[in-house]
Amino acid sequence: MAVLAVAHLAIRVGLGVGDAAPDLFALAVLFAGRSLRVGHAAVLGFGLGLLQDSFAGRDFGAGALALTSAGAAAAYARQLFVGDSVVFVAAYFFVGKWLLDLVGWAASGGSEWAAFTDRMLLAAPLAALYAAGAGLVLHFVLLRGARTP
Amino acid sequence: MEGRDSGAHQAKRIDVLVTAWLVICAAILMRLPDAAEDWLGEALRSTALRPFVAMNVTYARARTVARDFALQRAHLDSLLSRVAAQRVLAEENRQLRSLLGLRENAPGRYVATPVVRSGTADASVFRVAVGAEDGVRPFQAVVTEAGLLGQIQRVNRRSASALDWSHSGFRVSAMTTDGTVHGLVMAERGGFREQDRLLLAGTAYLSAIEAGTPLVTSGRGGTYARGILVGWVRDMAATTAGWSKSYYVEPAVQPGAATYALVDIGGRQEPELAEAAAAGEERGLEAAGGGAPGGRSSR
Repeated sequence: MAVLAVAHLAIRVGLGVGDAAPDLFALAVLFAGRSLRVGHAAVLGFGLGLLQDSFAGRDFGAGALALTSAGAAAAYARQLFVGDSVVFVAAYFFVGKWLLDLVGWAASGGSEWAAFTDRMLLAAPLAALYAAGAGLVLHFVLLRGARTP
Repeated sequence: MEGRDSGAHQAKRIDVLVTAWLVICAAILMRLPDAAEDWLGEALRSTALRPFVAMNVTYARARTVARDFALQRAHLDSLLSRVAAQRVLAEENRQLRSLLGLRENAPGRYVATPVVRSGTADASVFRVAVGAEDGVRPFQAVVTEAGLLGQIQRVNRRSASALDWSHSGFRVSAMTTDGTVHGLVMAERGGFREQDRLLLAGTAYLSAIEAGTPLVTSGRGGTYARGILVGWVRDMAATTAGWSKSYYVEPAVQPGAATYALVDIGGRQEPELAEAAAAGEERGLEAAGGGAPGGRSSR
């Protein structure tokens, strides 16, 4: 998780890649949700959210709220859904990232229908797809790493 | 067994309490006043995030030096040839000014900075690695070699946040290069960032601007210096019968492509004149013009 968080900052901020890189903060929190307790995942989400918010020009706290909720929800979801298949893992990251964006959008005062369709039905699914792809690759790389004696 | 259940139950309760407490903290953060948000953001950027910001600055400088060397060389050659060609013009201008008794224009002062974008949801906001210590103040213009990029918003000691022209709050008073048509340029957001464009609103109904005409800042209000390229008129957007016209404008700078910029920290106007001009904009230009004819009443 720490590696993902550092990689997120190094790529998005350090190298100035921005949105062209997948949201590794979201992936770090969603990965944490699969292994940490609810409270710990929420604390991690809050910390990463604060770091994210420090670069936002407005709506300070929206990122913290979204990532805290995502961390807690991911840890709760672990008690309800279990799976290791490609479809499950991809769906988990896709839905997690899309819901994260939805909470962030709502927390930052999003209310207009036109903005909702543009942001949540067009841009957010693409970002979620990108994150799901990256999450899938990371998941199986980590899995292979864990199984290697 | 019962003790283990009780322990698990207690852990769950703690988890719920911690989560609820953090959600409340996040909600409180969202209601913080701007000054507190600035302080907190700056504290994080200058401590935990400092290595990443420094990395961005170094990387942007290295990229500019390495990748754009040939381009920078071409720009320099082009500027040198232009300066050489304008030396005679400058001398002529100086002589005419002295004949008319006009004072010299102080040259503008700029500080160079990399443009830092973090990839947060608000893509119209970026950071610059110069701040109050470098003479940066809120509302100063951020420009690239191509033209106007945006405006400084909040200033910290060594950094500042700025918004580019695609931000919904961006406004700039603009005119055609011959100064005959004036209007207010604002952003019109598209469905996607690539569709963002500028809109020149409030031009006189009887004025006609041909497609391709360049628009520059008019300097009204004293926020932006006069003559910074904003973009080129593309086509007419709308007319308000008998009253005004508006035009779509092709922006001079694509925000996503800007990696290095200059902040115009002023120097053209004496501070008291700038203040008078700003006050005059609000009070009918009387203060700045010393009671210019045609000025609106200050009442």
